[in-house]
Amino acid sequence: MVRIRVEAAQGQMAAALSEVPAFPGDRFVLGFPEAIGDAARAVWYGDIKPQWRQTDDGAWESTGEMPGELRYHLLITPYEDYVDAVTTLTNCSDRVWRQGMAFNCFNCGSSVLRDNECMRHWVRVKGEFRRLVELHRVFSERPTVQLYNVEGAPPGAEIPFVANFKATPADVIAEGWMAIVAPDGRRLAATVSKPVLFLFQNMEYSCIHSAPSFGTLRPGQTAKALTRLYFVRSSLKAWYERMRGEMDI
Amino acid sequence: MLDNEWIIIPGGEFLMGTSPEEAERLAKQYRHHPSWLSGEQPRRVVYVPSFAIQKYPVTNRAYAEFCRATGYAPPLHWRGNTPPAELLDHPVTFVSQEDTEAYARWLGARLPTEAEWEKAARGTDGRLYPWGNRFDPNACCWNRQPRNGMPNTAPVGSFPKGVSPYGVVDMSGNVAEWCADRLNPAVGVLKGGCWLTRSPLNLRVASRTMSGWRTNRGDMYGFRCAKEVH
Repeated sequence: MVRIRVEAAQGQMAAALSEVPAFPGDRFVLGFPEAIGDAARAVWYGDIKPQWRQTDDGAWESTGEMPGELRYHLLITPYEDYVDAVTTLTNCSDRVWRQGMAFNCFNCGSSVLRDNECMRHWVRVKGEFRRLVELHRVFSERPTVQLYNVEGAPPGAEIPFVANFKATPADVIAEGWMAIVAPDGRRLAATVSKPVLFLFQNMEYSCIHSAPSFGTLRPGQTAKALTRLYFVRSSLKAWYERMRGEMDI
Repeated sequence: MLDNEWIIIPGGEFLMGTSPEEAERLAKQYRHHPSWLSGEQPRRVVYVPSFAIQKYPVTNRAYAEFCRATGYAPPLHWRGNTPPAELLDHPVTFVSQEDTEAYARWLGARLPTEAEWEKAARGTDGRLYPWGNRFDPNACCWNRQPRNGMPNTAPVGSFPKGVSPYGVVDMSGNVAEWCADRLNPAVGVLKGGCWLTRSPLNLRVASRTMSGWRTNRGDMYGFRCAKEVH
């Protein structure tokens, strides 16, 4: 079986994916995680220098720690047309985190998927597939970014990390995935997290995020969440049916 | 090689931004939610004193002179201080707002304000594009490729049909242009859409949705300079 290639960036909260069968020649950069921890006081990219190690079965794992705040373990396992990123997060602080989260950046800007206008970005709202440009957008001091509420998670305005962006439209509640369809309409990449806290995208870099949720974490408590990245030759609807079956969403 | 002449824009009022009614109509036409145009509303009358603006975006050739003269770091896609030969007369890209401000200072100029830029692009009558209200696919460098494959920038002045009422060229498409304004201390205003822009909605000169990190050196970003006139 051909597997997507993972290239870890030693000492960085980042990796890259290449040799993706559905997107030959393209490269996808992951900021995994771009931020992590307490949604009220997340630790950002660069503040942790994680160690990466390749496992015997071709997966990559990284461990990162900020003493007195958090510890995480990330396992990235590639398959033929998807990649699983399982994050295990531990609250090492003496605070109760009302909401643990990871802000996983999936950058499609160096691929044929690149879409700096959100014309080919798709989500599902109230049972309908919708392009992002069809949904309410709040213009902010950073007009290229937007966060979206998701079903089963607290409203974005109640999540400090989200509220800091001042850009969440309250009337849009999406399912926990976001996809970019290729210009040919026959391929797509998508990010899905379970459990999920919110969605995010940035037109500046053509990146999409589904933020895994770790719920409330008391001091010393650990939780686990999955982010799956799909790279498929498929229509949006066919992929959606497959994803729902696989992810039980 | 084109001489990047200075065009004088006379002082006076012009129509800036977009009215809610027009936003509603455009959103329907291009299948966007009207809120995507909220950042450019309302349409208002703005007075802009006389100023001069460069006819074309700053090219790689012109930017190379600046880098050679000052030792300023060249854009990442060059080979040292030498731009790719085939891109000499294309707009310089991979420049941040900070880079463009440095160039402008070296030239004894500055970046145009957003109001100056928009006036130079659309004149006084509130038109959507430099050439009028109807999108013309042959009047600017935009992402017209229907399928796979990326477009690119075009040599400045390649689309004379896209000239503005004042004779300024390439205000829609080619490169999104840094203006002097910031939406917050870290976010600079970018105007005009670019070679990668696919929707005519985002090639309108009132649009400001591309505005981004002022330190970002994107392949979509370029600029032109402005200066006072006395």
